[in-house]
Amino acid sequence: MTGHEQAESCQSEQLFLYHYGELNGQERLNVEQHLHVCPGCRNELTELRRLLAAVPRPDSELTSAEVERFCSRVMEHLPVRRHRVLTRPVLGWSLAGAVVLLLTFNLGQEIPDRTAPPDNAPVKIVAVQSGLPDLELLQNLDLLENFELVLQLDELR
Amino acid sequence: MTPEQEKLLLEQVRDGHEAAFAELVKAHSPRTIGLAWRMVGNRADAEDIAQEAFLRLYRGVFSLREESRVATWLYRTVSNLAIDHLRRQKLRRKLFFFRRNDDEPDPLELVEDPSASPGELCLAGETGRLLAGALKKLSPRQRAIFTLRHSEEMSLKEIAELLKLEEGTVKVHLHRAVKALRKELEDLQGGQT
Repeated sequence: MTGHEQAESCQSEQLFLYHYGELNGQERLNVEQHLHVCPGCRNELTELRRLLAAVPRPDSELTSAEVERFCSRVMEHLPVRRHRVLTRPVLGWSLAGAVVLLLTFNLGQEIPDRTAPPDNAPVKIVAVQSGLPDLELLQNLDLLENFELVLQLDELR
Repeated sequence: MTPEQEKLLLEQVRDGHEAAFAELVKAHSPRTIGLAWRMVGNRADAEDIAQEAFLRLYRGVFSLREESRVATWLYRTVSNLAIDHLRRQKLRRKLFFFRRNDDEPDPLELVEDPSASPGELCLAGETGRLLAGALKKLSPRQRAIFTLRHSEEMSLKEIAELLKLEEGTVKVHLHRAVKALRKELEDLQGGQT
């Protein structure tokens, strides 16, 4: 069994917590006592420390010019709060006023009876084509010009 | 910046003084950009994330609680934005290259990144270079938690509060991250010998 495998069977999770100082007093004492008797875990802890030491804690300092440039960039993108404060209530109150006015005028008027046509409305007479005797006459309206006269002559006979 | 100064600036920002907000940006941008940079490994993306965090702070300044510190609020927002960014990035790559699973190598990770992260800039040795590559292969949450613990030196409890996770969950993610880094390093070193 390798040191790593042995540590896996012991308490590898405790070892990294021990390294990061995340154990309470009793837990820490238990791990330290275990490390005294377990060479696998001692080796594992050494390897772990070597690995984590190789991962750098980088220093990403920005120059004052970079900070200024970034600040300008953020300020350029700020939402215009003044407009939001002023225009939104104005728009809302305008819409509400318009709705109130519309409702007032509509309710003040008498609601017309939509089932009957108004008296002064022209009455439309719709011809029903199927009721006509000869559709050919309709297609040639010249023939109908003297139709009434023909009928009167026929009555006189 | 003392808490009193910060509180005063926040009051001024609420009253519409943009200059006060600029003061807050200047005071907090180095750490905010630095955190985002270490998390996503790219300067341009880090600045985009930091900018979004500051704009959210400006929009939400009225809802910021009295006892909230700006730095904590920014750290939380940047961490979450960075995790989202890394997730989207992984998904985009997976879709674009039709990788069947995460075990397949990411073609973009094989290409040299011209804008090295601060971590990469600090790394001199071969181990460091390998670890920088291994860090990119961690899951977004593992990477965020590892960065917060290792680089920012925050305790597990603080990380749990920041990311609104259970402390046990943070512990599990950190343990997995460390194991994954170790395995990756062993595999890479084994493959080179």
